Amino acid sequence: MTVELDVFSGRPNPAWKLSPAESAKLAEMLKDIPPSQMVGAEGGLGYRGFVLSNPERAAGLPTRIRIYNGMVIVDEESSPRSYRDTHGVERALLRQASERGYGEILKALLPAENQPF
Amino acid sequence: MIVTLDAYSGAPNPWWELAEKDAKQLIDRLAHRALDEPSVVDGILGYRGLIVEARSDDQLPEGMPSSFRISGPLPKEYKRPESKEAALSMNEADETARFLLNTGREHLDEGLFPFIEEATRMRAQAPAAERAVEDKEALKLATVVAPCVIHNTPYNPGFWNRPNVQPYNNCYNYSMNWRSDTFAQPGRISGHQWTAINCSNVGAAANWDGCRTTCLGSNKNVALVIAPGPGFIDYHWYRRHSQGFWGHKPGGTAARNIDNAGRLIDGVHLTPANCNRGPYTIFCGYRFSPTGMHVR
Repeated sequence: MTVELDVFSGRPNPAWKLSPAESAKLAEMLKDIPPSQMVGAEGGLGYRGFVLSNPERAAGLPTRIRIYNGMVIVDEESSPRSYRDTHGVERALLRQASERGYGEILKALLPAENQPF
Repeated sequence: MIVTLDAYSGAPNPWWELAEKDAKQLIDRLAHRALDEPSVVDGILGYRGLIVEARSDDQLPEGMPSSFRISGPLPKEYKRPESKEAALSMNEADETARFLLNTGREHLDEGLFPFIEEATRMRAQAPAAERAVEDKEALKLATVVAPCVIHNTPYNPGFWNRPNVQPYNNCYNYSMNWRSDTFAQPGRISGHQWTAINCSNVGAAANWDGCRTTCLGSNKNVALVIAPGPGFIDYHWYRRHSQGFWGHKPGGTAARNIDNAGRLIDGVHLTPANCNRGPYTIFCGYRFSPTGMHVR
């Protein structure tokens, strides 16, 4: 499973692979989150959350999930399904991005109250 | 438009790009006709027809699919979806295939032609059709270069915002109007990819690909901006459309004509007043992207 920090427009986004243990932890966090009627925003130039690519369907998760602005969007079908991020998945991924060396990017793009530092 | 000859099993199928004049002829031939999807084919060994695929959002008229198969053997159980438009007859499809094959002569082994003719003849169980008139026309590939023509094309986000296209094409693909599915980088196709993110370096890399700061021939208006850092360093491109507004595609997200504040990016010039560009605060300038420019 690959996590992409969706921030760039021209350059390829920063991305990293999750270990089986990290994938399992993420799957646990995504379990039983409530569905939402809202259509999740994709975001513009700058921070647009995270994209999980999971072609091998590791940990039983869908192949493509977007996490942004308090929403979790399962994006693998023609009509995406929306959920509310009530378990702090985005926050956890922000922390993970910072630990992987992308803290300066997040510092430049996110308001202070949303920074995982 | 890209044409792929579907004939090989192990080796990659040969493909080539249609000249503008040939593409127009093809569109004229196929206007208002029902066309088969590329996946609709009998998986036989040997000649399986030709696949035509648009590579930019202005290449095919409204209503025509962005990719289709010509003259492929249909699966026995296949039933065409109901359509108001008539499907091509076998003869029309074969004539169109001949026309397309002729446009690709430079890219195809001469020995393929009799093999394809024979396969077509066997399938049709009819005498080989006369060579299309268009075959002769297709060889006259004259290019007229005007001193400076601005040819901005209509806004067509549907071409880009599809699951098999959107994630693989970025702002550079969109602005230069060329789908490469490679998250294109300025300078990569010409072997002079950018080495630093600033106006002069990214601009020069795009120039190597054909982009220009002065207008010569048929062009579309594009603009380059930079997010200078610290922390966040990137480039971004916009393209002007024939309706007068600007469009763009932030990375792998959807193509759009609105700015970071959700407003239509209207106006001749991109200024902070009419376009909120978020962290891309450095405006490098307007440029001209030649019609038909490729990126990778």
